[in-house]
Amino acid sequence: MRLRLRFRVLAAIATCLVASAGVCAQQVPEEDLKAAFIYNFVQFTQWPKEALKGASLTICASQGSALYGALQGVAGKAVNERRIALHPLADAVSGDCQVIVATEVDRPRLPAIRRASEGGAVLTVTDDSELIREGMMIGMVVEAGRMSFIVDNTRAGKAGLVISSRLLRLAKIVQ
Amino acid sequence: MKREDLLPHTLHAPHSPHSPRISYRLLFASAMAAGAALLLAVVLLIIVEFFSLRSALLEDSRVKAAVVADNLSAALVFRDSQTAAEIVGSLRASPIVIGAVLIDQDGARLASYPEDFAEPMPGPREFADADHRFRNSRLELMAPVMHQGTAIGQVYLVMSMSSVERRLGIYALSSSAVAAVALLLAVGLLSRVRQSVRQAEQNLRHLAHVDPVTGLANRNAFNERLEFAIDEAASFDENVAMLLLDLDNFKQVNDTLGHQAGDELLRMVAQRIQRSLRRDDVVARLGGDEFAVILRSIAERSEATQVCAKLIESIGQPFPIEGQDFFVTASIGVAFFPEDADDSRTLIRNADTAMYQAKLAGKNVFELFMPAMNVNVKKRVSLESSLRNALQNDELSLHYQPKIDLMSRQVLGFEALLRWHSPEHGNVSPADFIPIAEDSGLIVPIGEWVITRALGDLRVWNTSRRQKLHVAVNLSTRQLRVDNITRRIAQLIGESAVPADWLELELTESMVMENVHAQIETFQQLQELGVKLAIDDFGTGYSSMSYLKRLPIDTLKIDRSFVSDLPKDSNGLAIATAIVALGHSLGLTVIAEGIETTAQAEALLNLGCDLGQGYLFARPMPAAQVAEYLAANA
Repeated sequence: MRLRLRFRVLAAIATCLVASAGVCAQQVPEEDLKAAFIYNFVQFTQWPKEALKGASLTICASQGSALYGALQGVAGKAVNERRIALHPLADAVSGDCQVIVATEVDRPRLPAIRRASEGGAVLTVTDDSELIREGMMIGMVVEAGRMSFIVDNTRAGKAGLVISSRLLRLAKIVQ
Repeated sequence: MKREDLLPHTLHAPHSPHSPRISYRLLFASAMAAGAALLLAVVLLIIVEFFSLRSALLEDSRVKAAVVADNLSAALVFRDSQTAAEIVGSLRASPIVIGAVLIDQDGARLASYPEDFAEPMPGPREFADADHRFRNSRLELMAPVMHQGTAIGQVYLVMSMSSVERRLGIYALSSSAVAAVALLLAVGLLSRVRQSVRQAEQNLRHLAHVDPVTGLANRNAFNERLEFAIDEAASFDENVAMLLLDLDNFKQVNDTLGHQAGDELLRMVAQRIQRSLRRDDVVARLGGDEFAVILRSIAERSEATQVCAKLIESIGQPFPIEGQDFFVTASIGVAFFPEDADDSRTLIRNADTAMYQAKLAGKNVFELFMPAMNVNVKKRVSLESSLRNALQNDELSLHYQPKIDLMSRQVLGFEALLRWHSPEHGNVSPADFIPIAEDSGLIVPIGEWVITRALGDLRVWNTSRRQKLHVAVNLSTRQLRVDNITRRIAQLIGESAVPADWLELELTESMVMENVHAQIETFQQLQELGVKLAIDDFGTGYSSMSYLKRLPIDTLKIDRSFVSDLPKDSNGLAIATAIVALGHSLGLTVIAEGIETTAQAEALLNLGCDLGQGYLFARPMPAAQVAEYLAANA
């Protein structure tokens, strides 16, 4: 099942990158593409050793968001010998998250998310254009039907995260 | 004579191992060998260089591919073909990259450099197990794009081998140039070494074939040339004459004047021999005072005898050495091929036998070999071995012949004459064994024995006499050459405990006059010792009047040949008259030998001759009879 999902996602990405935006939007659900991107971000990010205590790498997202469902397809996949776990993002932001995916619905929780990310090695990813300007580390943008992303490497560095230069190379803007 | 002429003919033969052509061929062969070795080395080096350059290229390409593949992983994961194209395009920095393609695991082409690079990718099986292959001057390389420990795609890299080929070309050219230079140097060195080796060989050959004193061929070269001459004569049915020439009294010159003068004399003899010969005759010095001549294409034996006569005449001329004239004579033996011998060894031996015979015949002559000579030689060898034991075995004895005062008929002394009775050969004539004793050197101990014995006998006879007798002993040339002959004779006289003037030494005229200046000192020393000196056989040799005046002589002995026909022979009479007059005018005593008749004695007395000796008065008698004789003729 996992294999089938991966194939589907990758095929979607491939089609999306190669084909025109319009076709891409029609063919692949945008949320799936975003979830695949998030999965890839995780793969190119390095956490400090002490931040990864358990056997899993936890992605936290609001259950109310459209992305949560798509991210469920990513949960259980392996990254650097760890399994990805998906936890709902509560009001009181848990310190167990390694990745926080903030969406439009999470705007009110911004202070808490910010606190959490500043306090520990937490990668913050958003697809909300407003939140991008509010200190999220990676922001996904759809422009002219094409998915791209911007990276605030300075903020990530402050949080003790190392984002691979290979990933940075693909980013549209790097701060 | 030019040096080359002395070298054996074989040296000039075209098949000689020392001919220049062979030498160049050797040099060429060595150069070829060195060249082949260098070529092989160059080829091997180029091959090694090719593989090392290729493997360096492979390593380099692998690193490039790995770097690109590593950089491409994110782009591949995100399927960002634009970035992937940029990354792949970074390979343009390397001019040897012909093309690069990024494919994903499904074989889909994601990016390529150059963008229009459309060459088909090799299938996964085409590389066999390797990650690369070399084909058509290209290196094709496959590097996996790894992500999270798994391959997510492949980078296919095509590299040009042109740089390898160019560098290999430069390497081949430069190493060939170095090899060529090395070869040139080697050839140069080799030829120089060969040259010096050749020179050394030539010197050695020269030394091995040339007599250093005279510049003539030496024994070695002579043997080779004789073989050659004999082979030639055998094939053309010709005759070869071999002359063996020995100087009769060279040792005397050598001993009196030293080796340098001796060498000078040998050189002059060599020149005279060469001047007496045709140009293509071979002359060699076999060693010591022995020379050899090869006369080729001899039509008649007389040709050889003419050459011999010419040689004897030429060598007989005085040799001016250190301002003085020296006289040397030569004895020559001749043997013919094929008449006398059919090989070189026998030819040399027979020439030697003939030469020996010439010496026996009185020297200064030549003899042609005759088979009978071998018998003589055998007899002589046998005599010599017997003579060696004669002294010890007491086989020698002295006979005495009285010397008579012609006027008073009184006995004044004796001449001691050596006799040998051999148990093997019976009574051997002094004419037979004295030359043997002289040649073998036995004459020295025998001569000393004679003086001791004669003086011992004389002491007995003189004991009761008021008028003391003297004894004359013959001295040979060989004895004169003994070092310190004077001191030796003085010692013998001292051992006999008799006055020195009892002893008279008789020397032949030819012996005295031959190199008289070298011997005059010895004569003077003998005279100072008190010994009397007599010249024997006077009138048969050539006397220099000026030397005769200066020589410390006491007595002249007229040769028996002038006495025998007296008084009828007017020539003999004239000579005897002249000798007596000459002797008396120089204040010498004159004695005649071989007086057999009263008429002869009368004639000599009339001439004024002082003493006489001969059968008329007494035959030579054993020592035992002398006392009796003296008593009867008191």
